Amino acid sequence: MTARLAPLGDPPTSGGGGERRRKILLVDDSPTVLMMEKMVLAKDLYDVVTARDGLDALEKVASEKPDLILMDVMMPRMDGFEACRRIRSSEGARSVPIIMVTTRGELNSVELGYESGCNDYITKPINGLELLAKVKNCLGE
Amino acid sequence: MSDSDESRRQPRKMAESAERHSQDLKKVNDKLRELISSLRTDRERHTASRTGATTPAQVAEPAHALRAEEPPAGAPAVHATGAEAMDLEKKRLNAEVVRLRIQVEDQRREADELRGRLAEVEEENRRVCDEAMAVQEQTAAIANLYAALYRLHGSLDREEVLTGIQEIVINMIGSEELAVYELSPDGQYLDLVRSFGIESKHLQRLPLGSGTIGRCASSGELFVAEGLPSQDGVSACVPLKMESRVVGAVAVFKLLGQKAGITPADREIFELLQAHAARSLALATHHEAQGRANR
Repeated sequence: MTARLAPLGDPPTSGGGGERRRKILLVDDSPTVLMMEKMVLAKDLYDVVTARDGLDALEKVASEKPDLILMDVMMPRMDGFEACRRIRSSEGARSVPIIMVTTRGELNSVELGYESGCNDYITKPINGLELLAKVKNCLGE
Repeated sequence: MSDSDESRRQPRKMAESAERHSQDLKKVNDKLRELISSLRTDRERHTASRTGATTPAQVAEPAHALRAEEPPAGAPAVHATGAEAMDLEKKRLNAEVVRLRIQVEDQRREADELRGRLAEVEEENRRVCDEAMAVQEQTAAIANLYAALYRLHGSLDREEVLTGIQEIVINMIGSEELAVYELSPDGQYLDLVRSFGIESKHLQRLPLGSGTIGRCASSGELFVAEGLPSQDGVSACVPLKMESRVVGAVAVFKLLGQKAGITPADREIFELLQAHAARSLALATHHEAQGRANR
């Protein structure tokens, strides 16, 4: 299964030598989830931007150029798998790490996620420590 | 021939014979010298071939060395001096072994002490890591509670408050099967106001005090199934209270597959729901009623 993982992007650094804060795009139609994720990630670690569905996410990917995307699966207008596929086929963001957030831990859902190009997945209910560990891992920290 | 002639000739003969004999001996001596010289040359050549030297100077050096090894004339017997030296060397080596054994013992003791100290440091490190993990878990739990509270009180729209309760159960507790009830005006029933992921037809109205949900609302006590869900499929039921009065309930049915059971952190969220969900719902209901009246 790991053979399908997309390559991770190089950790970006600022030109001045010091590392800039990484930017994470959180994509979920639930404000509760967005707030939970923000609480875990934005304390003093990362800059966070949010999107409410897959289409919104595609726009934010182009405008915000995030270092990592945390993507829910079930969303209105465009689900996480489709958004993931489109991001992977886009020129500028195909190597951005994507972590799928799913309520279904079954193999089927996970496989679909990997096939669409995600790097890792996390299941709901979200465990703050697990989320942080996966984000750091995907960012090579 | 007279006797006097014979006596004169006799010594001359003897002298001639001695002279011949002497010359013969000289010849033999010369031959022996040549032989010795030849042997010496052979030995030097042999030594040179062993050390790899090719020049005459190089050849000469091992020859000197060989000569130096030869014991001087009048020296005591070699085997007697060697035995004494060996005995002395043996004693010196024995003393050295004893000294090294003591050193090894000291170092072993030091290594044991260091190992013990390392184990203590590792244990301390583990304890600090565990504490850090516990703090992080607590922080995450508090973050969840904050998000839940914010969600419950973030809107005066009744539907939005119900959606907030639903999201809290799905994303924080980990269940995609839930039902939210409000107490009927006559206080005899629980009426379904929101459901997700369940067949709600037979769950629209439940008599207070009957079934897991009814009993939970009637008693005002949080219900959490131990292990498997209750007979009517309830994993947890949270009575919603205004002050100490029950005004509704949130029933959580099947948990998500990856969720092993209700955790202490889940119980904290249930307590938060118990105290705040009813208040938010009541406030939103009142706000809507006031809005209708104003129109």
